[in-house]
Amino acid sequence: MGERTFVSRKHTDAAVNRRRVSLNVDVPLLLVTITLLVFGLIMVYSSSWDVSLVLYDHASAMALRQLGFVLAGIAVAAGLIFFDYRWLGKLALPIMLITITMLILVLFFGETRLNATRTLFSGSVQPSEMAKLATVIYLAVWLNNKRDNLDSWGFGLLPLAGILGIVGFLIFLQPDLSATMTVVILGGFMFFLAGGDLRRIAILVISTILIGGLLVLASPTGQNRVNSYLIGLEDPLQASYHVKRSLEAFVNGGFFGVGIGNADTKLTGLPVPPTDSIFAVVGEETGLVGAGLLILLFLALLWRSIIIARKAPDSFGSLLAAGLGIWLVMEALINMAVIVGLLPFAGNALPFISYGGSNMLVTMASVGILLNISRSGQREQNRKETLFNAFAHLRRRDRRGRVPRTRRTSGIESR
Amino acid sequence: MNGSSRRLYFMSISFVFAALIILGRIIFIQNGPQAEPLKEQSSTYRGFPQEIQPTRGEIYDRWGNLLAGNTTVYEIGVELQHVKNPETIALALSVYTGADFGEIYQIASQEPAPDAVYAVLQDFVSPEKITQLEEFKQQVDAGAYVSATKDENAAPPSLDGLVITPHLARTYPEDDLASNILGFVSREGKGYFGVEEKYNDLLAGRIKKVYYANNPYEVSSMPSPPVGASLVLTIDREVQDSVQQILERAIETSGSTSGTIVVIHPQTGEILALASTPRMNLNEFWSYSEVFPGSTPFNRAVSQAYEPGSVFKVLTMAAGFDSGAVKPNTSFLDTGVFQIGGIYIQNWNMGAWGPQDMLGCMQHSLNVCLAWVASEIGAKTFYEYMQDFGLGRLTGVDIAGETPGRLKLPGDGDWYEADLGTNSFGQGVSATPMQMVTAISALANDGKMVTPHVVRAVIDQGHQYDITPQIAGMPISKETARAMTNLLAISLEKESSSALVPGYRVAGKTGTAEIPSPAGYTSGATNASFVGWGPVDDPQFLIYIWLEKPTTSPWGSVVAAPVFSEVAQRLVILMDIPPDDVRTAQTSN
Repeated sequence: MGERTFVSRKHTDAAVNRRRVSLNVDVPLLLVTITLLVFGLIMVYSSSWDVSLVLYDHASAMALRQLGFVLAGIAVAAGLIFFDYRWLGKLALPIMLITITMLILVLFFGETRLNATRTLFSGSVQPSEMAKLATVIYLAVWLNNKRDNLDSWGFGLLPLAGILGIVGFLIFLQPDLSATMTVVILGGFMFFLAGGDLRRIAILVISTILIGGLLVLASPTGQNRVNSYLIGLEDPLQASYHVKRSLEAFVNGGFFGVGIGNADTKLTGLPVPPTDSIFAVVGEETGLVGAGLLILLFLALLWRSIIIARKAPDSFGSLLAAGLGIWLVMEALINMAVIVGLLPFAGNALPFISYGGSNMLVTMASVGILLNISRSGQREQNRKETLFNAFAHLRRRDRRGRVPRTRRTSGIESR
Repeated sequence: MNGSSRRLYFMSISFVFAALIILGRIIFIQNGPQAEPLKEQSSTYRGFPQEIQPTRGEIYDRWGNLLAGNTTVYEIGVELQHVKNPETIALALSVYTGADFGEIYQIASQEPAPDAVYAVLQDFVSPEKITQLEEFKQQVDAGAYVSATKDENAAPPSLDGLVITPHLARTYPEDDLASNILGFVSREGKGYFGVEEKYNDLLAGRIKKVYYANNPYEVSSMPSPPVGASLVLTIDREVQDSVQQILERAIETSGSTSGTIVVIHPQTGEILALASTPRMNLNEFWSYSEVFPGSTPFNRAVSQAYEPGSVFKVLTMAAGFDSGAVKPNTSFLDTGVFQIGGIYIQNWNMGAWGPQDMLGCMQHSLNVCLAWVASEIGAKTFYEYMQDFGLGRLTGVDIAGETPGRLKLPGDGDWYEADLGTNSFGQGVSATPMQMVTAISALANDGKMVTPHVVRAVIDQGHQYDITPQIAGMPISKETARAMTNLLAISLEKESSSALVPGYRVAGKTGTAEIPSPAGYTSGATNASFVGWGPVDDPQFLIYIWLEKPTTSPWGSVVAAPVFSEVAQRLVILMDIPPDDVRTAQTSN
């Protein structure tokens, strides 16, 4: 659906048809996403073949499953590109209710893995991942609606704390401490972006830190992790086994890395290379350069989200776009910071890269929503431009001169 | 939107800052002081070295019959965290493998600790017992048994956690055959006594160090497990078994406390059989301290020196001939007493035997005569000969635990001139049966003394290395040896000794030695010995017999001589030695 011209939208001319197909989406974001997905698939294959061989008798079993997740994710994203995000405003409450229901269900019927009950349907669905996305959507709607009352306690902070509290607490019960923290921090960020009063935010931050501190102290997992984190931060050689092995991977990797597929630590005991530790494998196989480029890709994702947020047609879209972008990049940064021993151990996956279906689907759903917002924004802009600059922009999308030239055009003419 | 944008930018910049910190952290990790230790730590995870214990070499008799091999046995252990019902495990092991119920129950019901997740319950369990145990496990797994207790909370019968690990262990298919020669191997794989100890390094082989890489790219193919060298002994299984049986019977009929028979080939030094009591079933080596209480030697033939008595006279007489001090026809007037070094030497029957030639001296085993011969030889020459015969020194036989005996020499603090007289007939000198055999082999082998040995060949990595017979010395001349052999053959014939072997001419000498006690030769207990070899024209065997403290008769001529004949009669059959007339007929043709 290209720019609108004076011709009818229903025109069935071939050239116009072609234009209708053009997505009008944010191309850099699309490219960043594709790059991340392709790179992620390569890294998942590189870090999962030996585990696959043991578990499924087939070296590419996990990589193929991940490919399936990627394709499913692309399908979800493609669907959401054409699904007007404004509908999400109406769907936010049902989504949230479904999420909470699933979070409750998982506590009773979930599959227990590694002493934590986090998955449904024999391990294929991880509701806490979905809860993060639902939280972003719901908060975007809610904060946008309450924009004028944000700073009042009764309408602003307390209900916000209530929503975050319910979701966070349900995840905490699984227990999944890092997902709980992610949801709460994300809520704070969105409150900040929505224009919450800074003093109130300060109170929120302080109380979160206090409550968070209590939660950490209350859970033995949390206590252990914080302790080993503090020790490891001081002296990396005293860090937990996991951090020591991932630091070893970075040291081995050096500047250019040992080459994709050649990592040693992933084969000699680095815990969970295809999922949480995949950044360490990236660091070892592609070195500082690869790790840096990966960080750069996530920053590009952030950059595009902000552009999309700014160009969004309405404040809901803007908040939603910003929230999604920040969420994805925050997840990525937390995962990376954990792997290099800058944060206590958290189970955050590296979006796009880590092996895992739930994460891939919600990540790609976010991308889909982002692209939809960008498309809506583009359309809005185009409409405005069309209204006032219809003639000047008439042929822009054909990549021809905007005004007819005196000469006849030829194929080899430079533009 | 403007304020909102500012906040958005602020947050983005914070994120960029966070990203820079992460990047900075990576750079720091890669170049900081901990980079080297981190790199080094990778080597500890890269793999682990392990030592592969080679399969212990096997031991065969001279015809290739297996005497010591390896068999698969099983270690039964438990993985403590998987144990569901220690009672079932204890019950199963007490029934099927004969373990102690209480002990097993206690081990299996331990709580697993970080440093104790596995516990050994039993080791060296035979495959048959394991089969029974596994059948029982299948029945239990199939739910064939229910708990006998009424307690609802009691765990159902389960053998979960039981781990059965096979490994190799030493096995001796012939049980106690040649046990004194072979020795045994401990559970740790170390050889004790006999050939197992002497050749431990060869049999055990070189430990192979391998590196197990964790990284599948670095995995190399498992090196073929090293195998220790195998040994082929000079022992003949049949001869050994016969000799053992004969010894058993001889000890029984003579009422001796112990006995030893050594059979060697006097021309090569090969030990054809070596029997000594007690013997043990090597497959039950843990019974060692029961079978050999106190300081009982494992192999008397090499480890127990004793006063050999009259058999020693053959060495004295040989020295006499060889030095020229006496000749076979030299005559000696036996007055029944000979004074030397202030003591009086008397004959075994305290009698005076009148005029005797050297044949008579040997035939009647006259102490007085031999003491005179020794004095004729002179102390210096006599002890030179005795040293040449290897007395007081190790023979070098390849069986562990050899002891050198004691030969006092002029100049030693405890040597007196009287010792020359007593030594001449085997008193005041101690030697092991193996030393006597070695020394006397010179008489049976034209003057050349051979080093006795029990290993005929070593088979290592598919190559056979034959052990060449070694000449330990030539203490006497060929003529002396022939003369002595002839003299001793006549002596036996004249006496119509019970040592004679029908159809074969043999030479030999009895020996009876009183066993010295701290108070002197007063106990009345004796060591009865006999040494003999044949056929005299081409000796194929040399047999040494020693019976300790015989009760039916103290005399070697009565208890030991017939044993020689019995052994020799078995030998000529087993070794396919034709009777003398057949043989001479063949050679003259």
